[in-house]
Amino acid sequence: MLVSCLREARDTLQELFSNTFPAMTERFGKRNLEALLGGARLETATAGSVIIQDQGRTDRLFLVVEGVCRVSMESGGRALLLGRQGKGQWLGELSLLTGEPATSSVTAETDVRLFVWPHEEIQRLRQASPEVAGAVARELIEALTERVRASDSELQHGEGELSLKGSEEVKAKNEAPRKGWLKRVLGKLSGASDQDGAPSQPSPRKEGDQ
Amino acid sequence: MTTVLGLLSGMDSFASFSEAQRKALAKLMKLSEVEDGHELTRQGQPGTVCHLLVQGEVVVTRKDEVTGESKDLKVLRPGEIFGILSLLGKIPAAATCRARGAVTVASLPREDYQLLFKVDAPMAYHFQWLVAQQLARDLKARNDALRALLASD
Repeated sequence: MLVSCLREARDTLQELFSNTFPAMTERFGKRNLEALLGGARLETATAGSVIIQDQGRTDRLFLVVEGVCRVSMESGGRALLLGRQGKGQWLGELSLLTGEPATSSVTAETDVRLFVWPHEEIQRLRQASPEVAGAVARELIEALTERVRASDSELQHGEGELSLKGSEEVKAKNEAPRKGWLKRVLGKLSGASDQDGAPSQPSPRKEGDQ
Repeated sequence: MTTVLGLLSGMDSFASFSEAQRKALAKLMKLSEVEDGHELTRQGQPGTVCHLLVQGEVVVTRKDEVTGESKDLKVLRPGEIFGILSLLGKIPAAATCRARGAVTVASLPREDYQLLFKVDAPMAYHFQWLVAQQLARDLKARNDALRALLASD
């Protein structure tokens, strides 16, 4: 009975994964996907809940099935929106790969459904199923490459000053900004508070094109 | 005399591989000597080979995109791998790596890395993890720089 229920749950996860991410399913292959989903859970983060806490320890890897999350960081009393993540995007991979605390907060902007893997499950796969772990690494490399590339173009814009492409607001929480670039970005975003409730679309991804 | 195989055998990140696998990797790597000051990778330029430092020292320098200042980040010692993003062939190097004194490196060209998937897939998958880890460290460094800027006067 228990075995039957577990099999049914696993089949449901596979069906959901295959229907949601057909291209990724093809890249993984049926057997690798089975092994990967064997250690996965499906969870829902309600709107407003914190999925990853900036500077906190996170021990799980996430793949967004549906919904939108905002990625931000805070420092010196200021908050900076780094971007938004949606369907087909990975979360928690920096901590998985570096073993260090998170470098940004991820908050559910809408209800968000996620595939979730404990980091230790991914590390177990590295030993037990190198091919599956290699396929995961390939997906993470692609995601990280896009972020590094986006980060490069963002940093080069604005006459040598920093602005974040894809981020819609920079808010000084407690005091007036002291950096020129912050002033400039804030100037452009003088109506930032009006945009708070209007989430932009996540950056385009392969799965989103299907 | 230090050998590529000897270095690989002593590295934690290759400890889980058999002697035969390490030999296969060592065979794909090409030894070369470079002079003092030679740039093995240049920040912003895509590379074509990943290097294992066999002998000598390599200084890693990074120009901060935010402040424009160049800073020596660290000095690599024999046994360390660098230029690993070259294996992707997609993104530019995150830092400049320059020989300090005479240096010997064992290099793995991108096309041989691709060959590794046929010769020894588990080793190739392992390299994929090393690449992903390097990318994650680079992105973390950028986030750390942003955080510092956000907090600065």
